[in-house]
Amino acid sequence: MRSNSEHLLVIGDDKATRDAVSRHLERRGYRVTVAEDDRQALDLIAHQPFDGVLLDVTSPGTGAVEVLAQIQAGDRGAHLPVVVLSADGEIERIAQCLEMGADDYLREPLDPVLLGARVAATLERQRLRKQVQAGLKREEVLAFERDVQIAREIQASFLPESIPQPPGWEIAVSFHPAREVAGDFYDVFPLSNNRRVGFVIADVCDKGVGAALFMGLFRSLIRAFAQQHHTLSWMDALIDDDPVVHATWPGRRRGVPTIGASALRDAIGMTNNYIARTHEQAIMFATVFFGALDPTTGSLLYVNAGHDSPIIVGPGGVRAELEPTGPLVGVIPGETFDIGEAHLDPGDTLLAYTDGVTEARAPDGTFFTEERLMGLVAQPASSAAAIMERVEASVRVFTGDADQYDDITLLGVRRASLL
Amino acid sequence: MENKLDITVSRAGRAGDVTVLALDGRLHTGTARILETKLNELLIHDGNQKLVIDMSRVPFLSSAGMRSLLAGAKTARSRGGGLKIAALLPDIRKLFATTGLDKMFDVHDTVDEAVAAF
Repeated sequence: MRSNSEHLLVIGDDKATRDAVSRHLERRGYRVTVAEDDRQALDLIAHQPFDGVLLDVTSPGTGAVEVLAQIQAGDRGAHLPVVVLSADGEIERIAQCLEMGADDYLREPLDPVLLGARVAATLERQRLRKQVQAGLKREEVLAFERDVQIAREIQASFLPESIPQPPGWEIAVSFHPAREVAGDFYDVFPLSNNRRVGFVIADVCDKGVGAALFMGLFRSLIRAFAQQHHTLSWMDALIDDDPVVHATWPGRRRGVPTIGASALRDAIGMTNNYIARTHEQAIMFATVFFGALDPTTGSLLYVNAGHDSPIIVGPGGVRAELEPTGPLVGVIPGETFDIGEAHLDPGDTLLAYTDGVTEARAPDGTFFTEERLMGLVAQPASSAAAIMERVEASVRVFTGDADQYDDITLLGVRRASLL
Repeated sequence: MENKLDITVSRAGRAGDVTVLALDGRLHTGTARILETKLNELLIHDGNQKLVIDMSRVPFLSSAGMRSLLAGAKTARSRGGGLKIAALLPDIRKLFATTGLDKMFDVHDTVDEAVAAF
């Protein structure tokens, strides 16, 4: 015989029956509480959890059938298994109780063995029902996790399958998504009739499926606007100037040349206007760095829209930080984004990153920091991929067992050294 | 990361019509909802219009935190009021400059200055 800790409520106005039932059940190891009438029974059920009810419906005066209805109507009673006790010859009342959802019945005079068996079987069925319900909950959790996985796969499909590698250049990317879906992305594609290589690194605000959806939108708009411009880019050869009027942003330059400049500015400006106007209520924004590289000369034009400054490092250490030329994208419609200009000499590497790197956290909560990143990047390296691997390894060691809170994305562009 | 953000609300201004929210904690995905709920309660439910956010005890601000501040500013403006930012720590001030948030918000060095600016 198994040891029972289940708590049963015995309801009935006949003391002799109550006592007999209680005694038999207690002998089988159940905890038993008794109620003499419906009011007391409902009060007890409302205030403590029971595993089952034995309801004596013999006496017509107790309104036992109504008690059953009320038990089942209550919050706690709805799933409470009920075994009905009845004197012989009251088949109709038993049938009524079973129709109302009672789980089983016993007739008096009571047989202790039968009582034990029926109660045990009823409680076992209840346990199985609960397991099935818990199983359904697990199913729901699994379905949610599948959705997150699908979101992650769709997100990954927005990243380029292959990275253009112009002769004399190395372009490398690495992307470590956080467990929770987040909104980093990168993109590399030809611009201006293949005369420029466009590359983008961006971080869409916040986390979760919302960030992932907007990541897809930002990425598509930037590329579509940049390449839509591409179809008009015969004008680039004619319009040889994109003058910059004001210089309030640190990365801003005056009188910048040319090919790719308006593609950059229009792609970011139009994306900004689209998100800020069409999705005004969502308040979704991104920090974006968009560069247009001339692989023949090493000249680089860029828009840095509120993104962490990419670093240019040469054989002698850090040469430049490409500071913002405008605010983050998607908040203020009509915002202008200016063009910055830089140059990559042979042996130089540009490293762009998202704040998942600098804000990576050690188990004690301290940040990786920009200073630590700078220290790693400044050391000599044979390739962009080597610098990125060094950074990744250092972040891994730094964070140890701590959770990765945010996506970690790195993009490196290196100009080969002269032989 | 710890999901704790304390918000102390007080009254300021000559007419007592400026509500100051002193935040204490890191403002990120896990705590942004706390601020959003408080801002909505103050702006929409209680009808406050002029808010100052005291950021002197906010050592970390993620993009989710920026969102909650932008949302609060938008709600305040739509109700004829405003939301001003005060007392940024150096790292956060730098972040405001990088992202252009310093041009999207009215940012002041001290809470008193922000209150007086209404």
